[in-house]
Amino acid sequence: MKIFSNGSSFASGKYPEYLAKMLNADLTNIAMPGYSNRSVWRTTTMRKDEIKYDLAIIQLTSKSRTEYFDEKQWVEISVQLSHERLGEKRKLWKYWYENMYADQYGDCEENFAIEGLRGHFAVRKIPCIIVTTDKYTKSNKFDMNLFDIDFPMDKTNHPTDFGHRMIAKTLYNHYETIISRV
Amino acid sequence: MKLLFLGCSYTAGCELRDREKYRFSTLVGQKLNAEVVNLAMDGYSNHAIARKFLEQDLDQYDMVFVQMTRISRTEWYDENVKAMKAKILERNNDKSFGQYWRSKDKRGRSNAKDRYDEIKAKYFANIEKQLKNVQFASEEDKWDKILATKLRFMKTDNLVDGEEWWVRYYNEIYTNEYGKSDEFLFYWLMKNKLTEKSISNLFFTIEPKTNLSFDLLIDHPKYPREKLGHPTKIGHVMIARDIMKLL
Repeated sequence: MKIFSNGSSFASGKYPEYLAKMLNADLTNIAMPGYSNRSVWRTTTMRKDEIKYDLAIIQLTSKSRTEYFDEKQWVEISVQLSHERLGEKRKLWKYWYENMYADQYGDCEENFAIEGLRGHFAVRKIPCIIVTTDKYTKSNKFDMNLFDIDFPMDKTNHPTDFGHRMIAKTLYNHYETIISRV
Repeated sequence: MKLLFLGCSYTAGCELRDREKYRFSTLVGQKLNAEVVNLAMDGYSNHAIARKFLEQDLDQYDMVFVQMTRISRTEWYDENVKAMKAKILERNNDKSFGQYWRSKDKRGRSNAKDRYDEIKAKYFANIEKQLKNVQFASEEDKWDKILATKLRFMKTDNLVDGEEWWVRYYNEIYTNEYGKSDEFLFYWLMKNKLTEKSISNLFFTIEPKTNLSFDLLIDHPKYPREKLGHPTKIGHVMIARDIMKLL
């Protein structure tokens, strides 16, 4: 069995690995801390990967995050504006979040990522589980909100190792249900 | 048979005297004896086209025609209708009134000379009315269309160091790489959805530098154009004919 995983900081932790072990599967995990929904969608669908996966587990994140390309590399933008490469552009993004960004925009971007990813895996006939770490999402298109699992968190508000094991176990327990639905 | 057309001004029939009658979607519908739903809008970006696409109940359509547009265009949700107000004021001012006044022929100006102040007051009262009406803007109206080609299309009254946010965005943040990824993501979002639902589809574009596989480049120089670059009535006939060849 082969599993594909992508997402932001949660998915770049241990739960995909623990789930792969439970399913006795090989794991390809391209998640990166700081990824936006658009980054997850882009890096998944633009990836030149001919591997026939048996399952994709995608973790989407806060809908207000975004990204841009600064001629050399993709730069992740979140409302914290903490990316070191932001430099002079920090002022523009600060203005964006303070004066122009609206939830409706974030909802739309989130919906694009969900639909884009679902379609990508559907045409390849790869079962796909999409979860989110956006506590306040209004979308009913996710298979699960990871914050519905009462996992312990560390100082950075990410799951502890035990928390990752809990997430993996919950995903595993839901595996049959989710797969029968997709 | 029911057909869905999505796109920007090219598919909306911009610059045609009677858009609904002469645009290529109507002509294709007539050839196929099909009902046509055309949701194309002037100034739409690929973001807007994909957004409208996802709002539709696709199962009711036998065929979907998606015309994608220039990759640099985008849109944002103008919650406080600030940009809408700015764009109304940009279009309507003393300069635009002067143009309106001069557009009347000499005789018309002469006849209305006594009423110049009255006409001017009426012109500006109409602007006030437009500004008041923004409070009734629909959700769709709040999606502000951004085109990098002209400053007036980037006018939103969101100034950073005295400069429009979107002008700075295109100067300092936007890159061709971003536009290309945008186009790729939206193209495959729509294409995969239609493939998944087994709905026949054709994809067109007006972006000449695309790397994606489109069925038709409708900005091709072989199609005659109006002043602003959109296909003429004959251009639409030719596009419809080329679409029919693809079916």
